[in-house]
Amino acid sequence: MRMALHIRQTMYLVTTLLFASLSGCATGFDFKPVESVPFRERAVTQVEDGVRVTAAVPDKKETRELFGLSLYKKRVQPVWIEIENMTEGPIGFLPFSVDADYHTPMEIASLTRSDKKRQEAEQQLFRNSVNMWVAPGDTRSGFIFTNADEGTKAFNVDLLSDERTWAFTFFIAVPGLAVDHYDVDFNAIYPEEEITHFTDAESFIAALEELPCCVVDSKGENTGDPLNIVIVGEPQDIYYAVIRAGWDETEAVTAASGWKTAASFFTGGAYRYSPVSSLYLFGRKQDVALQRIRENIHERNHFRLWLAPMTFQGETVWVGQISRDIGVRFTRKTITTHKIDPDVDETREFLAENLAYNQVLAKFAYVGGVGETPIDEPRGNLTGDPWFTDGLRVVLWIASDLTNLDDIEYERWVAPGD
Amino acid sequence: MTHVRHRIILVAVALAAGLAGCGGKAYLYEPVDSGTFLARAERESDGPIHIATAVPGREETERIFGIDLYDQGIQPVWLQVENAGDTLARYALVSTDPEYFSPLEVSYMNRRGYSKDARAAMDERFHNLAMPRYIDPGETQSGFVLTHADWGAKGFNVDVFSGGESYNFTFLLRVPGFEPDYARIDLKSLYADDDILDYEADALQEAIRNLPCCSTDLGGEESGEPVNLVLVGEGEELLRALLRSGWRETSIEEAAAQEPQFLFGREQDAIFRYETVGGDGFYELRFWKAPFQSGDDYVYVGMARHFYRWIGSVSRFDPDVDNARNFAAQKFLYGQTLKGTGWIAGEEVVPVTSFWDKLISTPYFSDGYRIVLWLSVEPVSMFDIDIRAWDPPPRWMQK
Repeated sequence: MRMALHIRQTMYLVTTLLFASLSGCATGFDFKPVESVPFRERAVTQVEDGVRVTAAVPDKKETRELFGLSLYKKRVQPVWIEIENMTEGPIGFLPFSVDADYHTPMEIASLTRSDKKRQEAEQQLFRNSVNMWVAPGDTRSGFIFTNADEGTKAFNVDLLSDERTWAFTFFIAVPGLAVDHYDVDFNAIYPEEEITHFTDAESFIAALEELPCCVVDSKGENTGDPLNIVIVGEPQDIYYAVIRAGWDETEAVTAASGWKTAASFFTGGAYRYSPVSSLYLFGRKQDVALQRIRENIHERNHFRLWLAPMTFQGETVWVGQISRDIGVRFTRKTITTHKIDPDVDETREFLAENLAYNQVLAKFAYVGGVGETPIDEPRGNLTGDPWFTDGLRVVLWIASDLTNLDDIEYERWVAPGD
Repeated sequence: MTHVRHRIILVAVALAAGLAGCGGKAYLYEPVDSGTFLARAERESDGPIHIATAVPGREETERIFGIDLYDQGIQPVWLQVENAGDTLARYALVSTDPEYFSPLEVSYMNRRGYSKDARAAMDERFHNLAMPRYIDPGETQSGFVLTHADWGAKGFNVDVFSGGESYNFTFLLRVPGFEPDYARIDLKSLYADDDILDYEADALQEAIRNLPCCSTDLGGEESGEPVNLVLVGEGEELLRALLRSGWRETSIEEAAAQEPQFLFGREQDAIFRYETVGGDGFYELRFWKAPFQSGDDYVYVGMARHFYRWIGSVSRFDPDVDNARNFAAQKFLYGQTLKGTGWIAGEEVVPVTSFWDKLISTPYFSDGYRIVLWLSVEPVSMFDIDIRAWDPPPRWMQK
């Protein structure tokens, strides 16, 4: 027995050593030329009025190869940006637009402890960071060190000259996260003959009010949280809107991700892409699951969307459920689950304001359909949390251009308090 | 003897449990108007919308909510909105704090140790004290918004929408129990009125150009770090702009713990900070009121510096002081509080190579430029910034 244990330990040691050498374990700063790691195959380019901006985001492994440091472990994600100035005057780049809490090259270099190595790191990182100014006819490129996102990296690049400004928005998929909606082919969800195309408000309102009140479990037997969100718009605009408003895609539930959630419950650390459990509508689990992290895992909002078998005035219609988590509880089935704020109208209105203040809301209205549920006679969700509501659904039209608060339209269908 | 004492304790515990309704403590609070904070309410009106607002201090909050919310980083803001118009009005909570706490979330967070009845009473209390979103025509609504705590001055917005119009208010309230570092000096009487020079545009540029390059130590002998930032604006406007852009005041104690820097023969008048997310470090602004102004605008001369987390809680000075200066400018730009900029080219260029050179080994490197920022309380769009034709910006960096 003791012998066996000894052998096992030795084998463990050997495997660990092997693994460490195979995975090119980060031993310290070691900058490689940008060309040597092919992450720029995923680069995205945009051109507007004499300016070209190309951006690419190396994933965890590529970052380690490029810098010799496991920057993702430090929650740091390098973004490579190239700016070509084809105008007559100089152009300035605002790093703040990419990440308002960006890390400086000197800060990243300080991860290397030995003085000699650190000075080399400072020089390399400083020289390979993005230059603030690009001369006419010139092309400049480099890295900016942002706070890490997994899944789609969404960021802006703002540029300015003496006369004007440019605003680019990038969405770059980064490998390494099993994102929920990637599994769904939205076009294949409904055959054309199953889709109803509404043009007049009256019949659209009636259809929205006839939708089920609530989500159900996988067997369709028990009802859960209310379906109090309706979104109208083009899929790309909706995607842009939610990411701009600070929502992240979520990881599909796996045993491993469940344990990561459990770990962050104990440590209070933010496991940002904690998975959501599945809820059902139209006989299937949500098509898109998003979450918006606040300060730690106990404080986040969950948002699930299903594509509805209808369009309104030519735009797709999505039905959704939103909840504000106010704590984590342990359950047998999914390891952890969240206790939700029972005032679901509060959370619904938060979403409307969250989108409006990120300038992506064009219009909003209310319809019935959930059924009024007073605070002293609450209904319950699938994990037994109570909720109460005025019974309304908010209908949110997503703008295709940024819309100022003053320009948001309100369509008076049913009003809260009526 | 011990036996008797035990029995007394047992009886006392049983009594307490009975009073608290079995298994947990009772939830106790006092009425909203029990303290004096409502007497501090500030009022503003715009068209048909009338706002009154006040922020209870730590002890007042504990009395009203029965819980020390400040200890959890939560600060209630009391609001009263009167809608004198003839259409429904909507108040947007996210205008006051984009990440506000919901009432039932906070009561849930605090449920531990309370009896079942007490928990229900607490939920009811928090729910009933919440500021409603909708205000009918001719009605007045009031309540609390649970925001992230600010210890010194609380600067916040209140946006109300009604009949296709928006009504935007900005408030700056002082929260009791916090002394900002600049409260230790009387900024108004720092210079005698006759000593303050008033400069028009060109003269202002010259005066800023002629400022010393750097701060010094107490004796004025050792040269410190570059004076690379100048703020221009009306008295309280400057403070509001700083707070709106996310800079926070430091307390007298916090500022006293920092290594002092000297300019105009005295220690800095104020220190403001911005902590970057995840506790990775902070940017710091230090200011001295200048002995000159420009019309009604005061001039504050200062330095922007960045410190990043090094080992444990030890911070390290970032030698790239130009980055700190540029970061500060962008912080105001994206905070929509910047209405004008001007650059002054300096003569004290410290190349990055001399920072790395073992023989010279300067503590920082810099292009030597100084940026002048005109600040505004009214939101200014990025497209409307007045760029003064002073020196051309430091365009060609040393990479």
